[in-house]
Amino acid sequence: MINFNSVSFAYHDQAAVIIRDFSAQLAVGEFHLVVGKTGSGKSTLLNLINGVSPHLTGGLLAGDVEIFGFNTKQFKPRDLAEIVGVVSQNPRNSFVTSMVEDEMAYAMECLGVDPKIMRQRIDEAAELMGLTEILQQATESLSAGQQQRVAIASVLVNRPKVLILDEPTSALDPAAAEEVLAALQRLVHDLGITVIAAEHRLERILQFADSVIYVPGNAKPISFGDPAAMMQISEITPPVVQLGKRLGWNPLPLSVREARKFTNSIIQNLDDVTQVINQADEELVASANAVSVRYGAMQALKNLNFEVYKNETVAILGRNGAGKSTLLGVLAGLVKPLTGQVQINSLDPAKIHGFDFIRQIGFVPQEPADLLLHPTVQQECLFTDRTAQLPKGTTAKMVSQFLPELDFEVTPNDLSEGQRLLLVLALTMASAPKLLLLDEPTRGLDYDAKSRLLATLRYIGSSGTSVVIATHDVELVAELNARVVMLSAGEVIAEGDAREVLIDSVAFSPQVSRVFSPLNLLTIEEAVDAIKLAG
Amino acid sequence: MQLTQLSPSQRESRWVHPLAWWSWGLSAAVVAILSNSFITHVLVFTAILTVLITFRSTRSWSNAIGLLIRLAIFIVLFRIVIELIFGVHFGGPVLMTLPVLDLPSWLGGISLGGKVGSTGLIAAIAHGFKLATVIIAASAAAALVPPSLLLKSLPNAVYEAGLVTVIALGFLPALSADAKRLKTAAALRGRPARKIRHQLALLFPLIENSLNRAVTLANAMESKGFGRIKTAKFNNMTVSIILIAGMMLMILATTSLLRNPLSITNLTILVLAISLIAISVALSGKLKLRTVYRNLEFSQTEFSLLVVAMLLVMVSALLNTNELVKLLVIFGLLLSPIIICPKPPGGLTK
Repeated sequence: MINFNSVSFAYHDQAAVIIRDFSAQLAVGEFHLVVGKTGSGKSTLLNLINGVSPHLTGGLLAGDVEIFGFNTKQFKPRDLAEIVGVVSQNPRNSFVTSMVEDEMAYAMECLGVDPKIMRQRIDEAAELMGLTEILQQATESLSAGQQQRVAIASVLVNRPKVLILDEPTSALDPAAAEEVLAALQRLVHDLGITVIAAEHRLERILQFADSVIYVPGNAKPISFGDPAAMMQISEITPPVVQLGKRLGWNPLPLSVREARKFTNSIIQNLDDVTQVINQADEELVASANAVSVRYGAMQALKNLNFEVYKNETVAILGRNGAGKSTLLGVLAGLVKPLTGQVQINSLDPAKIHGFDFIRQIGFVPQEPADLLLHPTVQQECLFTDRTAQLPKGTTAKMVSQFLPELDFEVTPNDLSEGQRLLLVLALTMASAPKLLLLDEPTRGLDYDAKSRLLATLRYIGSSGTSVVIATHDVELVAELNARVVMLSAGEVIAEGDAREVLIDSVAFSPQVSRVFSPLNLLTIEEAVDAIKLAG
Repeated sequence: MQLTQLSPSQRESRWVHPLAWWSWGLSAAVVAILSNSFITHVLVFTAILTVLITFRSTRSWSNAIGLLIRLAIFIVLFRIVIELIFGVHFGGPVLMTLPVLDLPSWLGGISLGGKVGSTGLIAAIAHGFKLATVIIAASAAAALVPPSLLLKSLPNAVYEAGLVTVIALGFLPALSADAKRLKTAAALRGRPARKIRHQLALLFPLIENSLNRAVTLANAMESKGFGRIKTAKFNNMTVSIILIAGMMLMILATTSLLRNPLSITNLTILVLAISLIAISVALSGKLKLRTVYRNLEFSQTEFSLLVVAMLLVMVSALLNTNELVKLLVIFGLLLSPIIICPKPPGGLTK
């Protein structure tokens, strides 16, 4: 049993209270999901469970957190190692050793487990997480999904009663996310382990949850209860719940299966969306011809052809390691292809720099914060004005357009993840590049930030800049109604309108289309319209 | 049924204990030190490279082989440069004449440059090569075993220091990847990162990234129970202090032994240093700081390698037979790991 007895927490006595007077009893052997916006205090709540807060992060804790009778005020995380296993947001950074098997042994070595039984425990945990084949591999060489499973296995060996995970599927492609979630569900169902996970991507995880802890943020009271009740009050909900709310379905569906109960009877009365294919201009903006890229023994791109026309938005989909980021790198001239040519407005992107570069290409990398070089937003704007040779104040105007609420004297690091991304977009767009490239822009964004990004991307798409997005986020692609290029192992395996490609795919189809299959509806708006039309 | 003898390549691959490899490498270094013949050095060098290449693996520091060869070339070239500048013409045909610089008498009145003779040059190359061989022999073991295994065989007293080193080494590739990423990012904003001022601007985000990574790692280690088992008669601190004292005395003893061999004081310090180190290692063994998964065993293979090392030293120091026979024996012993030792796990690197 995990007890929160009127728990309040702040990082120091002058700082804002993050959690105020939270009381709850989390049942053993269940899957608890923590839901909330970025910065609402989800991670802090997780940290409180095994005492990482306040023992390691510092801070003031009022009230008691008790886990199986141990009060975290008296026991440090290390004392609770057999009871609580923690998998951090970025498993790769949490690896102590360099090999899978060693990493799994490490936690046991720390606790002084008898070496004779280590082998058996490693075998069992590897079996459970599907790692038996890769025990001898280097952790560096694994895919993101495998690394996540290694991180889980490496705490399972100590037989914890509780497993805490911070955003276990955010960085994963849909298929890898399903593997991780299936493994977690096995732990709950077969071994009776209590799983507590925080996650933004509710469309993936909500159906597994037995209860939801809703953290609204700004020290507003945290609610705890069964998933359906929590989704009624939660500001962030997955598409299927939004759909249910819009159409007044009762009980509120939490999964595609539950929503199908409402749609099965009405589907035959509904009509397909008549195809309105966004007619792209004939003018070619960027092209890659027969491009091959190789990293050591791995062929990242194989003889790939790719074109971007004026005024179009292209989404590159594919599993982790399919070559999406490499393709963006090639288009931006950052990755040198082994063979083939790349052209941006008949220029070689690798040969343009400085002013010429930012007039042609805007690139927002996976960590948008990397692009921020100055201590205040104002200085960032002036820097772009200078390098892009724009009249003073042009960039600032762009920033105010994307982020009307922003104070220009603030440090970019203090912004929320969503705000930082919009700031970087504004800085990049100030020089009006012909081509905008975004790598995995929705990673770590909550639904709110995502809908702001969506509006901004639609605006950019209509302003004469062509947009290319590499992403796992099917829902974003559906909303953008982009042209989709699907990559696998460095080759294009499908290409076409989002509607054709996404609806045809099993792993990459959005929730709404699963609810209304075999119809070709992609978004909530389309579904609501279709039902209205049928009366 | 027919019994077949398994050849080394068919045996199950496993790591050989690092201590055994160190003893083999150090004995090769001793051979190189004791001999003044160029041919011996060439043979030792060849044998070591052969063994390194035979036992290379994707999981050890095999890329160190290239590094070691480059180091050898550098040492030889450096020795030649020294010879060209400071060398005195002994004889042999004059190969070239460099401009002479006579230093003033208060600098010793040496003259730099001048005639370069073939005898001096050849001697310089041979001497440089000897130095290179000794250094490579002594460090070969590091390229044969992955750092994590070196860590396993460390005594408890220095385990934590070793762990810190191994983790820090693991940080280096991540750090250089970060630096590259940030440099690219700056270029994406339209700023070429050529000027030093611009390079320096990358320092802060770099440090910030590393700190974040370190905090994540520290949290993970704490949550897994790192540093939990510590209670015993002697706490960790005492053991560390004894060890550090022992190490410092050891340095003192070796430096003074080099200057003034075999004085009573020196020997006393040396004995004291060794016993302090031994005490700390013994104490730390009792602490039971941690258990070790799949600790490497010291089996027949390892003992054979120790015997090889001892034979190598004895042969090169004591055997006074035909020079050719001696050379062949040494060469054979140096190459014997190829037959004695199993292959390391992990595929071969290119």
